[in-house]
Amino acid sequence: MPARHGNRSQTIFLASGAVSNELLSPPRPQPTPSLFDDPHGHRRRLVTAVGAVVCLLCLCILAVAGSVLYADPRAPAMSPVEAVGTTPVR
Amino acid sequence: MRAVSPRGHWWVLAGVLTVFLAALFLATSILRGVGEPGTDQDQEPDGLVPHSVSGGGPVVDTRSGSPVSLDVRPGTVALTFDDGPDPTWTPRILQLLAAKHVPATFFVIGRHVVERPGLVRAETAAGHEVGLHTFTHADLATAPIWQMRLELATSRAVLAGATGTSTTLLRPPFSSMPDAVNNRDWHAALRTGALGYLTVLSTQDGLDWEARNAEDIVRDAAPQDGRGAVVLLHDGGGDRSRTVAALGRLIDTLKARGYRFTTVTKAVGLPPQAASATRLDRWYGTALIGLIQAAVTVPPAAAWLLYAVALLTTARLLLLAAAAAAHRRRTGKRALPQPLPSVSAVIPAHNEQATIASCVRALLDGGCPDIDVVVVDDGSTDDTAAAARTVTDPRVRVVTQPNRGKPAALNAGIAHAAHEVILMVDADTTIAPGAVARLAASLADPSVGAVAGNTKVANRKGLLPLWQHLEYVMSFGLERRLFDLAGASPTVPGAIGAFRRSALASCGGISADTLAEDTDIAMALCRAGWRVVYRSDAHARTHVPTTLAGLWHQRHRWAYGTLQSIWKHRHAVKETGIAGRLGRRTLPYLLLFQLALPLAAPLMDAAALYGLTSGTTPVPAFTWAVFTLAQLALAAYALRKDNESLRHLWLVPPQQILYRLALCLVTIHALVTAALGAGPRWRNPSTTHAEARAHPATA
Repeated sequence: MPARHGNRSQTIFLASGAVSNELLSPPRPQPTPSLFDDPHGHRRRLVTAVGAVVCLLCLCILAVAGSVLYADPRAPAMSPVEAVGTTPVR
Repeated sequence: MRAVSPRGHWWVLAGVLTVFLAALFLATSILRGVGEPGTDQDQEPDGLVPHSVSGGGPVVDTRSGSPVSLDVRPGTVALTFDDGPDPTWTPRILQLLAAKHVPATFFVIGRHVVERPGLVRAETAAGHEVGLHTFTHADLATAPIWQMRLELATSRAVLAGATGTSTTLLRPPFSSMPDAVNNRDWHAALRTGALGYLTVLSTQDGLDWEARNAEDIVRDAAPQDGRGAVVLLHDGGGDRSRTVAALGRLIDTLKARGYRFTTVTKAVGLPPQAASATRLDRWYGTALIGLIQAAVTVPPAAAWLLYAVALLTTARLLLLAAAAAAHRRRTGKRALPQPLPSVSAVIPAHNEQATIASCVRALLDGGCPDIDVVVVDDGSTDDTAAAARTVTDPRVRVVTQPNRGKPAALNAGIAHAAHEVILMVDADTTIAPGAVARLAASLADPSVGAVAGNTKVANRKGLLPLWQHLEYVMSFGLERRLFDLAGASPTVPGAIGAFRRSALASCGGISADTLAEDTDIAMALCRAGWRVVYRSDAHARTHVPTTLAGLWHQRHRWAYGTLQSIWKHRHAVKETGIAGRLGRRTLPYLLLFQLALPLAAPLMDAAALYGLTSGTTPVPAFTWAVFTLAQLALAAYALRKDNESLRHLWLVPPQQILYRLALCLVTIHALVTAALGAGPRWRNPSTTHAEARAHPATA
């Protein structure tokens, strides 16, 4: 039967079938919360907002650039169109 | 790993790349113009041109459908300047005209208006008339209708943005005098007339663009016999010093002959042809000016970025090559100490049923007689523990525990290890004969806290594993040599590494603070004053991911873990000794080449691709080709020094495109998930077989 180190839930076998030796040093405690965690979500909201602004800016730029294709090429209407003081040749 | 995978940043990246490419296209293709170099059209008048036009005045009105030609009143001169505004010559001409109290008409090119909107405002403020000369100096006679509309729309818009006005005056580029109008010119005049524009030609051409001196310009520009004239000169498009020199003399000469100077519209008796632009036109024109001004800065900025990246990359390649040579000279053939030290091997295993037994057997047969092997089954759901127990040797122990993640499994193994030298091996790794002894031999130096082994790819079948094989040899192998020479290695690969127990104890064991526990512990050892060295002749073969998804998850964990480790050990920058070397040599290298460069890579690749396909900017593509050749040479060198075959060398160029791009995207993903606090974590049983491997080097 394998030996159980109850509170650590570890079962130790020797491949030969005998029971294990004892621990030489205690296992380290479990880690603290992982680095870069954002438990309150403040950073997530900020980064999401920045990303949304960048996306919006890109869309605006592309919209202005693309709208050139639909810009009006016509000159303003002028009146009167006839010249005065000269003789137009028709 | 926790299945959190934000996706919004891919939209941001796509948006930025699209804007970047659009700016490149705008700056290098559209703004260059299509018809600028000149035209090959026949300059002789043709039969379709009405006689009233070819024999008429310089202003042609086709707006009503029936052409009307307007001539200049006798004794009147309208000076016109094309191709501006120019930052050098336009202010001088404006100054001269102001001094002589002479009004003029400026036909401006839209792209120059964008560059110098203030000069156009100065022209209108000084009472001069402004007309259009297209946006890119395109030849309207040969341009297709869509280009003509685009040229007029953009030049009209930027004029509205710059001055708040619109005009009907249009001088077609490459136009001349009425008797030189040919069929195509006439068609263009009809089209522009339909859009509401007056075509302004000239009666006197100063030929200042080809004149040898000012006297020639004055002679050609001055009308004879008191006839009215529209004089064609230029304030942009080249060196206009002769125009400036001739202008004063021309004005004085014509004044002396009794000529009166006025604008084009007044010269032909038309009312003012400028009108206030609508608010929308002004707003749109201003936005367009800002947009184009920003776009023209993109190619030079991209070029500088490319040069910087090329410089850094070249420096890195040279550094790696030099480090490999120096490392080889320094290490050479090293004899193994006798007797060999006792070694404890710790193998953390999670669902490694298929490979654990061969891993254990390789350790037992590795040439180190006094070895004990501790297999820690970290909550496997398969028969990993049973497979390990099939190796019936009294030196092998199997420890089982609920799934707690790799760091906890390693700590449990360390706790059960009997000896001072602790070898950590991944369960899917096969140690080469003699590797254990070589690693243990390096720990004979009491200043050494850990030794990294040389990890090689075991499963070299298929494109993805072969690319990883090249990466392991070329990138990881050479970088470890460099770090070894720098005196601070940032990683002891989980696949094969040996530690001094007391060194581990001084750092508090293996930490689960990061996802790259092998990087974290190596940095922690450096900061504690231990040397972390590299033993290139201690080989181990490990299995690498064979699918893109597996590789993505693995590299995401590596990149994220490296970020965490760099952040955790950032204070090493201010420390001294080995810790200082880590902080001031290794960490900047990691930041620069493993985090910053991957961020620039998509832009560089997009610029290279654009340059290659459009033919407008060959420099990025050329730089990329040189870079790939350099990588090829380095790969050949690394493979040869590592006693590997060169037959997979042909995979390096495609690796530099697809594989490198995938790794760059992984790095971006890791940076974003770090910023969002949405990174992966340890202690999840869903960790896949492939991604669970500790990395042989930082990502």
